[in-house]
Amino acid sequence: MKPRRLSGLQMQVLSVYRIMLRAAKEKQDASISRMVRSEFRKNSSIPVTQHHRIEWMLNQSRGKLELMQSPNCTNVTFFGPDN
Amino acid sequence: MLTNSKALARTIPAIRATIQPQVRFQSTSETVLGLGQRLKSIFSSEDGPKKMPELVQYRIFKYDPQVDNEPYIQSWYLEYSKNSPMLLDDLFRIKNTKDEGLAFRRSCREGICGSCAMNVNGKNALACTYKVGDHISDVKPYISVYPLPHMPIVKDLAVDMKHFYMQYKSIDPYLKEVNVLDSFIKDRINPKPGFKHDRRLSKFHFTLKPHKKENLQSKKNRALIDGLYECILCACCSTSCPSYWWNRDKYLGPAVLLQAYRWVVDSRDRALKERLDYLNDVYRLYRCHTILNCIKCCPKSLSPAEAISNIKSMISLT
Repeated sequence: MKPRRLSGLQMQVLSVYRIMLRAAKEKQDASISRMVRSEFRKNSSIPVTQHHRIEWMLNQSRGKLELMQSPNCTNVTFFGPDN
Repeated sequence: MLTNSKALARTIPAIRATIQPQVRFQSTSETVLGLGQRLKSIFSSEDGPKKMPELVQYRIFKYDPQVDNEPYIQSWYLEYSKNSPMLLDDLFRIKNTKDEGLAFRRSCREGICGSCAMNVNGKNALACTYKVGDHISDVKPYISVYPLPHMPIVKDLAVDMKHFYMQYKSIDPYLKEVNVLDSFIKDRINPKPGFKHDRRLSKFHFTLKPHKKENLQSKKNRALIDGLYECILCACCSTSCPSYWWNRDKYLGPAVLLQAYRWVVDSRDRALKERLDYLNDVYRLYRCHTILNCIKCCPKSLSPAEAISNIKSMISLT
């Protein structure tokens, strides 16, 4: 089966997801990577047509990622409408 | 280009001297104002003062990504009031009486902090210096307010300025006493633990002495940074530049380049070569195609395009 062709936005989300998981692995706390995964899973239900919202979340997650990549950071929390 | 630093050091005063205040790009807003005043003086005797609508419609961009699926335009009607002439006052009236959830940034309410930059009637402006009365009339009784174009939105009219500020940080916006070479030598002469003392370099020691007196500047040199230091970094110019819209990640944008020029042309700064080397890049500087939107919308009537062209000529001179 041919792999599904992803849109540019989807690829951006996936790349942030990948980098974030990698950053979470560096941390001592194993619950961070679990949290990252569940957060992305939870928001995967957002329909692709709501690109404004996806772009906003992408922007937010990039900020979070920068935080996570700093060596001083020990834990990260996500704030969203459903939390 | 920019290879022999000694030769460059000799030419620096000559280069700075060539950057005299040249022919200024004319700001169009002044001429328009002049025309308006002339028209007013012609017609005011017959028609009386300009007719104002009783109600003004405010079309405000609303988007809270945590709640709304899509951005939308919310319109509010307010009575036109001479007592609150600026748009910021009206935004406060809306926030106080009609829509508590409206989000916008503001701080000084007098056009000096640059927080309330937004896109009003299709032009970037500061809400606190935007006179509503000048832009509405009986036939056009509305004002549309949007966030700065092509910036990631945080909520409603508040945009994420992080990238802009990081770009500003990248040009090192402070006086550099010693350049990179000097600090390299400094490590050798006053070695940190682990570095070896190098006697051969101690003849450079005179460059490392801090100023005993104040770092003085002549009046002529001070005049060079007039029209540059006033920039308040409101990002009106950068976000009105189409070139910045398309190449935001690499092109520095008019506001940051204006600031870069402010440090390049400052006679007290010693890192000219370093700064020009950083700016001499296909994307960082040369994405400016003299579109001149930056001059048109600058709330402080500065001309970033002039500064950019001066940087370009400085780089070609060295």
